Amino acid sequence: MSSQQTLAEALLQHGVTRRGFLKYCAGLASMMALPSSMIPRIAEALENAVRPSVIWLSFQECTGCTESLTRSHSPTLESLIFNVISLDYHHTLQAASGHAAEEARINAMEKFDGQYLLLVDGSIPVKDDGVYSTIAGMTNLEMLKESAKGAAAIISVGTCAAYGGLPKANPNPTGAVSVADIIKDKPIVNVPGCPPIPVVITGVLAHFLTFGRLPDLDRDLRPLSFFGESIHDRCYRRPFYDRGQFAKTFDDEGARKGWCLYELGCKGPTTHNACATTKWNQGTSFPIQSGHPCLGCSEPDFWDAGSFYKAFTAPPINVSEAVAPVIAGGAAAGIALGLANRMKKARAERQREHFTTEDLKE
Amino acid sequence: MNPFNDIAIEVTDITAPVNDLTDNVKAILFEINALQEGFVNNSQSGIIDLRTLPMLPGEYNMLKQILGEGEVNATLNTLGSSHIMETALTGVWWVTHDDENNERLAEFIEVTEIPDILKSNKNETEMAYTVLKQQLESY
Repeated sequence: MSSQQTLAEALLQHGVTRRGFLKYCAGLASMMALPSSMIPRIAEALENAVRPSVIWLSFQECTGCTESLTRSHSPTLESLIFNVISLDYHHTLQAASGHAAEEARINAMEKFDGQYLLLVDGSIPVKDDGVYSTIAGMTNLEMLKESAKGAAAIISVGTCAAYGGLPKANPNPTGAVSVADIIKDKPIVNVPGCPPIPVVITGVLAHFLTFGRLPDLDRDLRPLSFFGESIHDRCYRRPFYDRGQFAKTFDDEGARKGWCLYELGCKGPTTHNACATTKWNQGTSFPIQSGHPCLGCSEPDFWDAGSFYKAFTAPPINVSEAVAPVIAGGAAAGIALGLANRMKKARAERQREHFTTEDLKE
Repeated sequence: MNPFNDIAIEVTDITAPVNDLTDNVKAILFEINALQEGFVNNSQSGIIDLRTLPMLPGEYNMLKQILGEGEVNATLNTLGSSHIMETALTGVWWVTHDDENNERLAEFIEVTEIPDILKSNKNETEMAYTVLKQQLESY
């Protein structure tokens, strides 16, 4: 398939009819969290969208981000999008290895100079000149700088690439940093999550394909369409929060009735991600639906922000009493508590609280 | 094959009965009603993307039950199957798009005369005209 082939042509080659194409566009609009009224415009844009070259670099990571994407649905919109991009370099997925693999990266960089998309998962170690992670004799730092030079844009996939993630957690022995800490002269979009939701990764790719630019971002460089609202605001348990109905332990009456997990350490109010609506495993569930509080994995430095089960989301006052009188104004109360929690989170990050397994027993 | 369909799961409806709407369902019904108003007064079609809304299976079923089933029920077979059903409320359509593995790609409630995806494409209609004409000439 030629790299100059348009997405519509590629789909037609796969036997997709006009109605199928419209269905594809409807799915894309839903995937990109765009208003459904955009479907005709998406269809129009995709008629002429040329599939981009993609170079995917993996640094200090666990391959969970790649697993998240490739183990998702099959064959669905995600795989269709993957069929219409030109994935020219990816350690885990490519057939080539050794020098041939590195040659593929160099060739793609030269051929599509200034046009290719650079996807990165994993953080970059910079301590001791970056010796803690190397590929083909190059440090991750060198490879990132070299590959970023000719990129049209960079997508940091996963919390490690976006914010340093687990490798950066205290005491950060390798001096791990994020992509945005190093590259300052390219458009960067962060798709955090541990791992990130696959549809969000492909949603950003689809947005680039459709509109030829990256989506609008928040202050942490995350696409607003997926990270614009907190887990809390989109949580199906939110009505219980507004009524002041909380689970106090993992096996009490409140937990069995599916009440809000706020007092069990849920980070939903300070976490921005699409889990609550997009969900996981073909839309089956997400952590809160499975009875576990949100860990806040798409937020910067979430590993060092306190205990997952206690920490900063425990409000300084009794939430049930504070929230009960303002059921009607639940959103306002949520915002106020959210701000208080953000401050508390920042304080916890500064103080670098240390927790033991004892915290898990509470 | 969708391996998740093979797992036996009993979904317990933890929501209240239909005469006692949950907040999530009530919010969607108000949104549908607002779209109806726009369509009735200004012929302005509207779509709600159900995939982006927080709902439990119980609430999803409640919404389906309230909207009911109307006279039209169409199936589209491309990239998997799609079902386009007019609800008991005329002009309110429930549209689902599934892939080849019956996994849900997208789900919308459309308030319109007829969803665009059901309309025949002009170019394809012209091609069909030519095809039949050539066939007739060959007889």
